[in-house]
Amino acid sequence: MTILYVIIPIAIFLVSSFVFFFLWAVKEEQFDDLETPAHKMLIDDWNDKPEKVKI
Amino acid sequence: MNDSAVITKAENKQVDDSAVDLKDTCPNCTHCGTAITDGGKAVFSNNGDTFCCWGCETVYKILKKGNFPLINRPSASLPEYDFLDTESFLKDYSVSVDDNRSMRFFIEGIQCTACLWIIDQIPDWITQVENANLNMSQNTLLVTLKEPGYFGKVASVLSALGYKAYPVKSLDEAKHFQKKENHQQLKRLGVAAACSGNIMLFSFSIYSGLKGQMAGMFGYLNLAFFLPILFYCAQPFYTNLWRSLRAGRPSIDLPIVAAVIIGFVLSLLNLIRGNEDFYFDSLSILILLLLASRYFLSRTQQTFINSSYMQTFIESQVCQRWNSESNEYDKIPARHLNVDDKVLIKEGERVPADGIVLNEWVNINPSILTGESLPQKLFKDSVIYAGTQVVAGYAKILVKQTTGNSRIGQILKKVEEQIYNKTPLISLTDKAAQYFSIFILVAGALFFSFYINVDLTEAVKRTLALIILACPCALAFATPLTQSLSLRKAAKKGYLIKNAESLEKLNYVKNVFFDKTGTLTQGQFEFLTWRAPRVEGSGNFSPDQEALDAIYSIEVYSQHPIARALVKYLEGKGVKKLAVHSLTEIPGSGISGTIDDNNYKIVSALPAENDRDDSDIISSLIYIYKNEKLIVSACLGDKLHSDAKQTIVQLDSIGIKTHILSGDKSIPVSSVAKKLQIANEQFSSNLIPEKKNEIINNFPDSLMVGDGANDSLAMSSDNVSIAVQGSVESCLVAADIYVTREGVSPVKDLILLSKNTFDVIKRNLVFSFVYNFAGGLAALLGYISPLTAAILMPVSSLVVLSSSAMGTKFLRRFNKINFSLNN
Repeated sequence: MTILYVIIPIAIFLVSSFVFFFLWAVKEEQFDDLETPAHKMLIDDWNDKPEKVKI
Repeated sequence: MNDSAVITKAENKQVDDSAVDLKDTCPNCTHCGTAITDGGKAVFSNNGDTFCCWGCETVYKILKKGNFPLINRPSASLPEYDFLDTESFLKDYSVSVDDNRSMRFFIEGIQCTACLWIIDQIPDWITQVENANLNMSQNTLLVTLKEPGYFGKVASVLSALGYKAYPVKSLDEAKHFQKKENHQQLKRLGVAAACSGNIMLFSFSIYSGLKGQMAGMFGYLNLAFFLPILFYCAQPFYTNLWRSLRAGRPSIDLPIVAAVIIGFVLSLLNLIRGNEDFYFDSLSILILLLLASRYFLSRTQQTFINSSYMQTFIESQVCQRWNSESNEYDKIPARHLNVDDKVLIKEGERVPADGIVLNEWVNINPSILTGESLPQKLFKDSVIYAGTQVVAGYAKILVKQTTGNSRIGQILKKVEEQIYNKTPLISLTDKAAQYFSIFILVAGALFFSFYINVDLTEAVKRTLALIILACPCALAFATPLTQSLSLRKAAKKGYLIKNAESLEKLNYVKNVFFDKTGTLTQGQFEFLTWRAPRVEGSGNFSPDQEALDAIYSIEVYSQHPIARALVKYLEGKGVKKLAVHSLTEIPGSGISGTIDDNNYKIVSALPAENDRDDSDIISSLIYIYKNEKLIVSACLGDKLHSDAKQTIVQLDSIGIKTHILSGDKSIPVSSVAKKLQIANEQFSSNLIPEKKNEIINNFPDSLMVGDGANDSLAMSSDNVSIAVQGSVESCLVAADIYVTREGVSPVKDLILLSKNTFDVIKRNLVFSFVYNFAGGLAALLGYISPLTAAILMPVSSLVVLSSSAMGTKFLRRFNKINFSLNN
């Protein structure tokens, strides 16, 4: 049962890093448009990332 | 020479036939290969190719020709988009960062990857464009320009590509709020997911029978992960509850919050007392599912066609005002016009203010204001209204009412007021939630007061179990999920529904009111058919090539809009221009000329009262005389949408009455009604916008379908409304639903979709009530242990969730079969 004392901190570490990266991704506006990027990857010569415009 | 013309005609005919064949057998797009299921949106090119959208057509052209002279097209800068670059408009609608300026557009007609590709090319075509970012989930385009650049040019290029662009207001403080709100919701959802996942993991050991100190440790771990859910993720429920209580209307949030708080307190007490009865896992999953379903619903409801984003642009339009000091015309925005200003309006432009015509004559299209299909000729000193469009000639007017006080300005003001004062619908789920939460609380209280004499701790425990178990999952999250699935389905077909409330209102619709011009009909004045002289019902009569050439050569000189429609038709038929001499205008809209010693006279006339063609609505006739002998007559008018008749029959079969409300004269309206088999008392003509509004308010549970400014007042009333494709901006603002597909069949589709959605919701409600009632009863009798409760709650949730997901799919198919049987 002592293994729990290792596993539980690992679980807590994993969940907090998930939350951290998720909040970061939301802040980076990665979830704002879920449709266009799926189409964009189908265009062959799509190489430059469009500049982010704040409006 | 004559032979070759015949051959071209024959070829043309062949192409036409093949296009029709293709349409019937549901062709694939020549460019991208997508099956074209939606005939209304398909594009047919001259050489028999078919495309699923304008983007594919354009891309195909570019690939074929290599070089695409788009920028050199005359339409590359249209005067109708001039207002985009006026200073006052830029102030409200654009944002300036460093040397760049950006504006957001709502784009109509985005379909597939080809559209994205073609719009991505815009910066290559117009050098001032720094960036064009298309968001396909919201159909918006963010254009960034290097100064000095012109948004008018970008909008014109978009329109040349076949898209329609509406500018939307820049995200200032109030609009920024929505984006922040989305992020906030998403963050809550993510945190809830992470925490509840771990709580489930930790709870597993307790369910497996862990007891004692270890169980306590897992309990405290659960508590630690539940706190962020309770204090951070569940916040929206507390604020919603507070709001609904203050409004005196208990909403679905009441039982939710009760269950969460009571469950938390009970679990905490048990934890402290060293007991293993925790509800942390059930509660956290409940909150996670609630948050998820609400997030999806709110995302699907956010379209940019919203009154807060769009404005009517008539006030921002640029017009030319006479400046008596410099003796020339100044370009100023219409809202700066004053009474007694003199304004010049060119062909194709809209009249910016009410006034009096100063020049000899002008032909205008009044359909936006009155719904009248026929162009009107106005003479000197007659009154001209703002919003009408000059179709032939030009107009010099003396302003009598400024744009804001004009007839249309006043209508728009009323529209805004009505939108603001709309009575909200108390939805089915809210009503159910009110009764349900009151019922549960009363039942709990009764049980408690009765059982308190038997056993106090047991009474507390069982009452709380009742409240937690009875929390109506189906009400709380199956309903928003079902609604958002339906909204999404509608959006995929090109029907943008502003909110779930409108979807529910559609379910109760008993009467549908259609506008005529532009809604039931195509709204364009065009050539319909030839008619042989004096022979009734002569079928497919067509004049010979010589006559066609002659008609074209003479009519090309006429300014009359009816003549223009005929010329436009003939140009597509490969006619050639012959030399005409002794050309004379006949007073009363006619023209005559001589070609090769033959005298031709072309006179237009209104059709007789009883003169109706089976195929279409004739609003004007043109008689062609050769050497004083009638050789042929042409029928012109406004074509009915091909799906109008079928839609009305189908609406009738599900018990919905159809009405026509039109501002047009009684003859064209009654002929449309007759063709659509609409009874006499169900159509009215010569209606002013206020009257339309009054009629529709007399019918509760009605639906208004329209496209013009004259419909917008009726559309902004409490009833649900649909704006059809090609509507003016004021309609987009006023309507609850906007359709980007041609025709009126979407009306039927939307009503059916709404009915299906509510069948699913009702089924879920019934299931949920039965389930909760049985569960609640078992809890009161003491049969439900924490373990059973923890299993039962997610099971019931899963059942209603799959019922919503499957329901929206299967019921739809079922209804389709039903329809094909009916017809």
